Amino acid sequence: MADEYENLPDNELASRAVQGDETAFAEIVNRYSPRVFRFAARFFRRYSLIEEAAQEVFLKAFLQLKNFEGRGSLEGWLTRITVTTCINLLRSAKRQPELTVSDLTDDETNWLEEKFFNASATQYKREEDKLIAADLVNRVLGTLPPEDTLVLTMIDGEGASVKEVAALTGWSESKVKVKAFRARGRMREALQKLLKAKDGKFFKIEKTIK
Amino acid sequence: MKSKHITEILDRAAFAELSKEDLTIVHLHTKNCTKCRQAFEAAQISSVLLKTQAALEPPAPNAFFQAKVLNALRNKQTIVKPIAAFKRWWQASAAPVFMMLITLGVLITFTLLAPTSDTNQAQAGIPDFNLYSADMVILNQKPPRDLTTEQVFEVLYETKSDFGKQR
Repeated sequence: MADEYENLPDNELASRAVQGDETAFAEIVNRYSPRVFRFAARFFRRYSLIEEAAQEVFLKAFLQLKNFEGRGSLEGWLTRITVTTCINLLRSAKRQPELTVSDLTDDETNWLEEKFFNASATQYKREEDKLIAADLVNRVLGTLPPEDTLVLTMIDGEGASVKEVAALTGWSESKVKVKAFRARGRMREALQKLLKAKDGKFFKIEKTIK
Repeated sequence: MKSKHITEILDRAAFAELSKEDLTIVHLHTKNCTKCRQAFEAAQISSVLLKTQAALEPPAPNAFFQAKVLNALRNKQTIVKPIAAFKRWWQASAAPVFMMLITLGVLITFTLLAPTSDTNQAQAGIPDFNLYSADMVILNQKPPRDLTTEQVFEVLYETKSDFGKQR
């Protein structure tokens, strides 16, 4: 029975799920939950939040499946729902107005300090450094509007094109460009504030840029 | 170029996508501009942070995720079902219920607007005295202050009362 569903195309699964076939919907969840998780992880760092967002996405998808007319791919349709759901969840959550040095953990402060002196280094001494960096970026992004998080993680982080982001969000390409431009400025300023802080520890030190 | 700050160049594209020409302009400018140098360093760190985040393996759904979603779906449907059932019932029986409500409204209106019993009595010519006095109701006579207790009993039971005599 499960094998039969595993081999069904997306459109067939969708039409069966609309008719109330729970196994068909379970197969959709099984097939696309890794992708939904991957997208939700761009917005949230904690597993519980990622899972909550993913669950919300599938519940919405089930209720709206009758509107899915099979013109595009089910994968793309679900990704769009994921993006809007995550943005809405972030909007409804209380955004941190500003990140200060006192909010940072010792590890995060050390990471910033180290990167400041060797910003071009991409090699990490420890695997743990990556996790510290990921926590830090998530906290900085938490102070920005949710749309900024999306464009920064996709374009600057993953190297996605403006066209890809436009297709995913339904925004025009020029809107994506403007949002990315503003988001970079906001992210840079948030980091500059952190680097300037702590009694001017970072920027008081004269260093030459290679 | 010294007079023009380079933050616009930094924000125009992803840091990793900056062209050699752009980077040359940035380097030349930041040698003498502290503000832009700080901006450049922040942009560099921002890029490293975002690239690091993107390189991390995203978490995979655990084995119970599918079951959780289906369970949440069933719970949602049980909440939605009573509302849907009410809607169906209302569609089927809205007309009779509406008629019943109209009838009830009419009855209430009539009850409130109908003439009171006092008015009926006045119209029937019944004298206005204490209606709650049993003897007056029966005898339709003057108030009991004109009758003795014996007289009342005589009239009521059509016999001569020995109420006072026994005492």
